[in-house]
Amino acid sequence: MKLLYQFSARDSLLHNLDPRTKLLIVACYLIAVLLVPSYLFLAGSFVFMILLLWFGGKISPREYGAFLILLMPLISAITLIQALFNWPPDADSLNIGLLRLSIPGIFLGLNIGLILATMGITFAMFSMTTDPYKIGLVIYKAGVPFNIAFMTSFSLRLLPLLQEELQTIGNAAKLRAYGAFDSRNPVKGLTGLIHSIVPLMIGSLKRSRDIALAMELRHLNAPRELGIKRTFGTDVILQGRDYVSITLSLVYVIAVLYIHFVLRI
Amino acid sequence: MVDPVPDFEFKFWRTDTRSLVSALLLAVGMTVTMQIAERLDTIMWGGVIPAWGIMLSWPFLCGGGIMFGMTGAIIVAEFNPIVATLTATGPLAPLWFICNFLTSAPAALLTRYYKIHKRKEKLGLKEMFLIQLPIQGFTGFAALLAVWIFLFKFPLWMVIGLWLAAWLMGFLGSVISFFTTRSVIRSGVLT
Repeated sequence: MKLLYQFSARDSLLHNLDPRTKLLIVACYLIAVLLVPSYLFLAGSFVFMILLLWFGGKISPREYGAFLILLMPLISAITLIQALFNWPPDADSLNIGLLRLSIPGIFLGLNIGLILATMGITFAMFSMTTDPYKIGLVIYKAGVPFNIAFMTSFSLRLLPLLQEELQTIGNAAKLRAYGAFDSRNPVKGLTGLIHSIVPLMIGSLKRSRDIALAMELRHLNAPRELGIKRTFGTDVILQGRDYVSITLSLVYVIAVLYIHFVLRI
Repeated sequence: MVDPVPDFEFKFWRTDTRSLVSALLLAVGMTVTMQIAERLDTIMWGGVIPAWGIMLSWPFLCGGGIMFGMTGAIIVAEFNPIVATLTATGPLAPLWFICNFLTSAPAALLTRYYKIHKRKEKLGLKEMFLIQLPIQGFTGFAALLAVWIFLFKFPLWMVIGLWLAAWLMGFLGSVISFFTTRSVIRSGVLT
């Protein structure tokens, strides 16, 4: 199983799209999701994104199954909290045993939960199909100073690495019979997380020493200091498939907003 | 008597590559931890209060400010909110841009104050509690208070309850951040 948000190199339609195109797809998709408060539309959008990632990016849901499983309690908890505490005037109620739940609260909670789930899976689509190096390149081409662009792509590349390091720390603790990481009690699990902070920090800072040295040896700041133009091994250029995807995304968001706000369906 | 944080070289605005990379790695470490803590908060409290998030983010936010000055405070504070918002760890994720900075910046300022004006005194647990906790608590939780009162329109008793809960988690976070920062500095990785 892959770590969530870890780039998976494949040869697929989504992988071959320009990062700017994918960012626009994400933006259009999220605008529609955030502005149309219908739980049926949101559930459909969530499922569609999974299918898009599967067939357009060749990444099966099994690869990020843990994330999908984690979403269930998240949606349920938000729905339950809204159902218990959100009581607009004249709200209908649903009685389950001793529990009295607000029906508008249930729908609102379901909406919020599905929005969060769809946002999560949409960003996963972007990060799992986009090489962090290309993200940095795109940011630099947009006029952002190289150091900031580089740091952005660098941090996105490091995110799965540090997730792996946290797992390694957890495994090392388990080998020493420390039970907190195996516990089903979330508070015990958090105790394990607290104990991982120091090794995680020290490991990260040790790694930073080598990375900084490697960056300096490759003359990270030389172009700025010497006034030389920076060159790159690869480039990002919009192609035909990008223009088609951009057009489709814009048509999609305009159509959804037209149907919802003008036709009121 | 708890030993204070050992002496270390402090610069308020650090721009060298190593400090930037170190702060960035701390920020990524915090993001990894927050992916778990914030989701747990969303599951347990519907994301209304980032209880575990406060407790587990403070070691990174304070550590960033103390060890790498204002540069570290900014980098550590602002990377996690980007990822948290994009990955939807909780409904209040965009608020972390403000809350995180208002927590890490006082840590950098306090360390600067101690390093410049109180050179003979070392940063100890007492200072963390008496100065850092109240300042960071008031600044860091101000945005949360505004959201609870004006956006969620919670009743007063609930706002006070949530605020006290945030303080309790801040208190625990402050203790953890002191011992964490001290352990990291003692390990010698900064030299």
